[in-house]
Amino acid sequence: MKKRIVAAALALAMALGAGAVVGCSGQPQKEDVNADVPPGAPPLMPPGHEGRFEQLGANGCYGCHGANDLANPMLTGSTALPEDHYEDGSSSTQELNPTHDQCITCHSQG
Amino acid sequence: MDITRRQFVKATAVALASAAAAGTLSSLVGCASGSAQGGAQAEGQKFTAVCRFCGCGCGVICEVRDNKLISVTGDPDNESNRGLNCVKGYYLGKILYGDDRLTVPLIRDDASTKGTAEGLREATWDEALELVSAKLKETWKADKSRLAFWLSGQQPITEGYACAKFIKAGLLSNNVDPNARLCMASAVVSFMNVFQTDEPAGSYADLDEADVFVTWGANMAEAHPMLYSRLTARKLSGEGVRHYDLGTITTRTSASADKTLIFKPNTDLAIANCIANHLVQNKLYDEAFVNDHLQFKQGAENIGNATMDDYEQTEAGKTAENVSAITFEEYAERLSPYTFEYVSELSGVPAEDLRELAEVFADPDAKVMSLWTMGVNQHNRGTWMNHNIYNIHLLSGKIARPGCGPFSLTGQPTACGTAREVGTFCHRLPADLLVANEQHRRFTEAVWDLPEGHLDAIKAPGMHTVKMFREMSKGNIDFLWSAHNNWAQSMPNLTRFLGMGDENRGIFDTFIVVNEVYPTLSTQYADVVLPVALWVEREGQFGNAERRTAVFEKAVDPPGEAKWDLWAFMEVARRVLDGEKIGDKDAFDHLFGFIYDKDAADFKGDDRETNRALWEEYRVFSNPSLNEQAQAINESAKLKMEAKQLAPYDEYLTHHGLTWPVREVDGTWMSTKWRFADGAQADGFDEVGVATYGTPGLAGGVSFYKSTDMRPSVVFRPYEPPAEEPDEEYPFYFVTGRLLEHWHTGTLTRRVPELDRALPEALLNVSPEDCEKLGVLDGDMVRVRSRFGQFDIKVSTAGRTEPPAGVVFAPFFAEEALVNLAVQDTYCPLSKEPDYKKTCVSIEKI
Repeated sequence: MKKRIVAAALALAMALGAGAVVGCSGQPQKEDVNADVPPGAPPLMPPGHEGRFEQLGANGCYGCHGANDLANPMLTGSTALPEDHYEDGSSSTQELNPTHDQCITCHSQG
Repeated sequence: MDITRRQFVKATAVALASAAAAGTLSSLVGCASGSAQGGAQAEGQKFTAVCRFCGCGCGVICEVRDNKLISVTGDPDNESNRGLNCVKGYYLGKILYGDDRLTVPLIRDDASTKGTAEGLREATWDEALELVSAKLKETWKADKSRLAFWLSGQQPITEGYACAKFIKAGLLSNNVDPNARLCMASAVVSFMNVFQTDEPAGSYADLDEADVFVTWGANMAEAHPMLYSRLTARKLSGEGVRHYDLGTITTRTSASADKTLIFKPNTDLAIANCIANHLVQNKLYDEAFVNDHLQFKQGAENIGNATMDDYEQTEAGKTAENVSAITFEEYAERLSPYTFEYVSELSGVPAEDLRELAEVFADPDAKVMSLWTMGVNQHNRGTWMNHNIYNIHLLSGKIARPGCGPFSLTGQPTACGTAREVGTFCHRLPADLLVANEQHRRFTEAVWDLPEGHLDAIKAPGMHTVKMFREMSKGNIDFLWSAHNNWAQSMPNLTRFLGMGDENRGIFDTFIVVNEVYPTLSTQYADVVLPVALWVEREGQFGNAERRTAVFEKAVDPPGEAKWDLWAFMEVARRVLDGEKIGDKDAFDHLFGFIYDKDAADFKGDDRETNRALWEEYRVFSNPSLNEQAQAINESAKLKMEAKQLAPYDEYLTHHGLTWPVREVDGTWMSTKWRFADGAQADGFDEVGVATYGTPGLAGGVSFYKSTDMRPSVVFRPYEPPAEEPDEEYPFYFVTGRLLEHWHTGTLTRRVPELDRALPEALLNVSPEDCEKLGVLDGDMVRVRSRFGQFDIKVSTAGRTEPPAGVVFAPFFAEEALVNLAVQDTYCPLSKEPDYKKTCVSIEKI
C-alpha cells in the first residue's frame, strides 16, 4: 500500500515537475495564511496544497518537507520538518516519528 | 515488501533532485510560514491546562504575556496526549479574543424580539441577577416541575458539582440534564446495564499495544484527532497491526483501514451478533472467561420508536428497559439466525469480510481494541449497540487487558468528568449514584450533611433532555437556564423547538437564561444573557474518556465584566435560597458557606482555594472513609464507592492529571489504567481494587468487582430497523457530525480566522451517483427536507466524507446551514439519546 503511494508520488513528481506536486511554488500567493500563527503552532498549508494529503498521505508531505540537511539538501527552500517530528527527536535518524503521520491533524489547509 | 519511511525520504530526494535538474527547483521553495513563528520576545508565564474541545482531553501548556494568552502547545507531561496536539488545540488561545466577546450582562425587555439578533440591551450584573433570581424563585415556588436547567459536558467538574448540589439539594429538583445526553447517554446506560459502573475498563494506553483496531461508527481522524494519531502510529510501528473501519459512510478514518465495511444503517446490530454467533456456534469463545465471569440475559424487544411525545406512556415505552436472565444455551439459540449469509444480505457487507472480522475476535492471541462514538451512541438502538460490542469482547475475553478492550470514546472534554461523574443527569447523584435508590440518597445526604430523608423529594428522575425541550415547546416550562452549550443549534428537531411552526411556540413564553461568551443562536432566544469567563479565564477541571481528571489553571482574567459561571450560580442561589432552611440552618450557608461569603457576594478564597474546597467535598463520595456516616452506609449497603477513588486536589496539579481509581500506595497516589485487572498498581493495574473487593486468580487475570455477583451481563439484543427508512418521498438517509477544524456549533472555532479559512462552510456530501440522479453538480444549492423540517445547503462530491448512494452527510458547525432543523428527535428508548445519524430526507435543487 505504502509502496504504491510512494510510486505514485514519484511518478507524479517526474511527470509534472515537482512544483506541481508540492504546491509550494514561488508564485505570489493570494494571502499569507500563516501571517498570524501563534508561537508554537504549526503553520497551515498554503493555497495550492488542496487534496494532497488526502491523495498521497504523509508521504506526499514528507516528499518536500521531510527535507533536511541529511535527508534532502535539495529542498532547503521548503519548510523543513522540525526535529521533534523525527524518531528520537533528531533528523539524524532519518526516521519520522509515526505519531506525526497524520500531517493534516495539525496542518490544515489554510 | 513494504517500504520504510527512510527509504521513502531517500527515494523522494532522488526524484526531486531529478526534477531540480530539469529546471523546476525554484518551484520547490516558498513554503515557509508567516512571520509570527515565535519571535525573539522573552518567554511568558506558563500554565498547565487541558484542551477546551473534544473528549481526548489533551494536556496543554498556556503561555501568557501581559495578561494575554499568546500560545498553546501540547503538554508532554500529560499522559493522555504526551505533547501531541491538533490544529484546534494549537489555536485555543485565539478563541478568547473574538471581536464580539460578551462582556456585560444583557436583558431582553420585549419577548417578541426572540429569535432575532436584536432586542438585547446592556444591564448591570445586579439587575440581571435580581431578574434571574426572581424568575427562578417565582417558578420554583409556584410549580417546580416547570423549571429546567440544561448543563454540559463542557462544564468544569467543580462547577457541575456545585450546580448539581444547588439544584438537587437546594431546589430539590431533578429537572437538570446535560448536553452529554446528546452524545454519551447510550454509552452510560450500557455501562451501567453491563458492568453496574460507568466508564471504560481500559485506557488510551491500549492504543499503543493493540494488534487490531475496530472502529465502529467513529470518525476519529476528525473527531478525536490526537487518539487517531496514536492509532495510526501504532499501525505504522507495530508488526502486522490491522484496522477495520465499520460505518455507514467512508470517512478520513477509513484511510488507515485495511478494510472498510460500509453497512446499511442499523445493521451494525446484526454484524456484532454475527461475530458473536461465529464465536459461540464454533466454540471459539474464551470458555474459561465465560465460565468465570459472565451472566446472560435478554431484554424487551420490538420496543418501537420514541418519536412521539407519549412514547414513554406506551406499553413498549414502559417495558423497554426490562431484562431477564437466560442460559448460555438460550443465548446461543437467539444468536443462531445471525449467519454470515443472512447478515451479509441484511447489511450489504460481503460475507467473507464478516468472516474475516469474526476471526479477529476468535484469535485468542490477538489484542483487539474496539473504538466507537456517535455512530453507535446516536442510534435509535444506541444502548443495544453498545451492548452488542461488549458482548463480543466479553465472549472472547478481550477486555481489561493491555491493548485489548472495548473503548467508548466520549465527545466532549468533560462529559465523563462532569456530566457523568458529578451527577448533572436528571436521574443521578454524584459518583454513579441514582436518585431512585434509597441507599444512594442516604449516602449523598451523609456527604452533604443533610437531614435523613431530605433527598426523598427527588427520588423520581426529572426530565431528560428531549423531554425537557418537548415540554418547553408545548409551553410547559416557565424557566430554563443553560450554560456551556448552544442548544438552539445543537438540539435535533429545531423546527419544533425554536417555535418555527404555528404550534409548539412555547420557547417564546419561557424565561430563558443563557451563560455565554459570544452571541449565538441560543442568545437570540435568551431573556437574560450572562457574560462568563471562558476556559482558562478561571480555574477548572475536565475528566476525559480514559477516566483522567486534569486541572486547567487560571491563566488570564476574563474581559470586561465577564465573570466565572460559578459566581453567577452562587449569586442566584443565595438570592433564591434566602430565608430557606435545611434543618434549622440557613440553606445557602449550609450548602455553600464553606466556599462563599454571601454578605461579601464573593468567594472566600481565590480560584485555587475555591476549587480545592469543592473538590475535597466531592472527593468524599469516592473516599467514604473521610466521613464516618458515609463510610457506615458504604459498608452496610456494599456500595463499593472506592471503585471510583479520587486523589487530593493538588495531586492532579503535580501529576498533570490522574486516571481513576487513584490509589494511595506507600504515600504515593497512583493512576489505574486497567480497571478490574489484577497486577501491580505501579504498572497501572487495579491492584488495590481487586484486592479489596475482587477475587484474584480468575480467567484473564481480571475480577469485575463492581458487577452484580461480580459477573458482567451479556445481553442479547437483536437487529431492529431504523426509526424511519427511505421511501419515495424521503429517499435518503441524512447523517450529521463533526469535522476536524470546528468544535460543535462553531461558536468558538469559527472566530479563529485560521480555522475558519480551513473549513469555511458546511457542505452536503453526496455521492456522484446520487448527484447524477438528482441532476445537481458540485456547488449547487439544494433544499434538504425531512418530516421534521428543512434547510438549504451547498452540494459537494469532494467533501470530507464519501457517502454511498442513498446516504448524505453534512456537519452541524454552521448556523447558516442549520442542519438540525431537519434532524429527527427520535431517541433510544433506554438512554433517551437522539438518533442524529438516520433522518430520512429528500433533496431538491433550488
